[in-house]
Amino acid sequence: MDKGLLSLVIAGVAFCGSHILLSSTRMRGSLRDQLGERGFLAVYSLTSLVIFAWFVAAYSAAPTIALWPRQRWTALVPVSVMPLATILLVAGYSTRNPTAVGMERLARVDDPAPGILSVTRHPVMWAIGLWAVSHLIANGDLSSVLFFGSLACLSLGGTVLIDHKKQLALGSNWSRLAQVTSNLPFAALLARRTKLRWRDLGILRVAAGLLLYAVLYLAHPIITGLPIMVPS
Amino acid sequence: MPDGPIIPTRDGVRVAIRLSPRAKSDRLLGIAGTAEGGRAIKVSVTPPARDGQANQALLQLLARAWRLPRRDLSIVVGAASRSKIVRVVGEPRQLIAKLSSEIAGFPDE
Repeated sequence: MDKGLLSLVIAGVAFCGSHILLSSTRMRGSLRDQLGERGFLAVYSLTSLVIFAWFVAAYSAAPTIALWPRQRWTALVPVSVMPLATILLVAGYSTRNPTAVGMERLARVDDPAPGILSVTRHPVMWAIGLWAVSHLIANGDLSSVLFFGSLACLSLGGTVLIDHKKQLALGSNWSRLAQVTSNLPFAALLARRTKLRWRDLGILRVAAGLLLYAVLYLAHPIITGLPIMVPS
Repeated sequence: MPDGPIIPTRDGVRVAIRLSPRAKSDRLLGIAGTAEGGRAIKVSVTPPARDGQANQALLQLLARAWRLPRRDLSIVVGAASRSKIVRVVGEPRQLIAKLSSEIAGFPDE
């Protein structure tokens, strides 16, 4: 195997492995007992950040092995999907979420799923997932499939793992939350189990999401070293 | 004195390119003589030579064709010209062997 590709695979296994190990195994409990909730989260965040930086570096040094040709439609996938992703990201980070770490008590309040949570109860995870899948399609080479594919599996697979954990932690409050939300974006809205209240979502969040999209679009060459190329 | 199209340097190779923008397809076409008596790889790309679009498409195409990280390639001479020099960072001897075998089957004018 190519050396660059091998480094990428090792970095990917380390990133996914450390995430799963620290979030979904017995290690979480024992580390939290030793370090406390805050200490544990600090260690988790720092570990993830360092390994993610390694993953990014390995990705940029990996060879470009084309799996499918770059076409107009593949290049347009991220251009059209990313506005939704940036809105989910901004609104997700600025909305109190009962599925977030340490926020379980929010499931008990009158409206457990305000604003963006009526779209999906995992807005940030879906933002990452949509970013990863759309960029995988646009790039179409092996190292991009490994890089973005790992991140997509981790974020979208993570929503299922989080749901499972929260179901155990929240008990009857979980069914209340699950009734008015969905994991898949827009599913609860389409099934008329909830309504999108624009005032709750906030026009400011949508505007900030779209502004973030514009900034990322224009600064793409500076941030990634690669321009956004849409073949004609 | 090597006359190209691939010339070793201290930290990689330099590849002479003759680029045709606004073409029907993104392709490596073959080897051509240059006005200076050297040789260059003929490449066609679909974008126009505007705002660096053709240059970016060229680097993308070469990275895919040669299975190299995109960041290892850059245009060092002729960004605004049809005749360009692309710099590839890496181990010179390995790159020469790899790229020479990639272009070995090309039609030579």
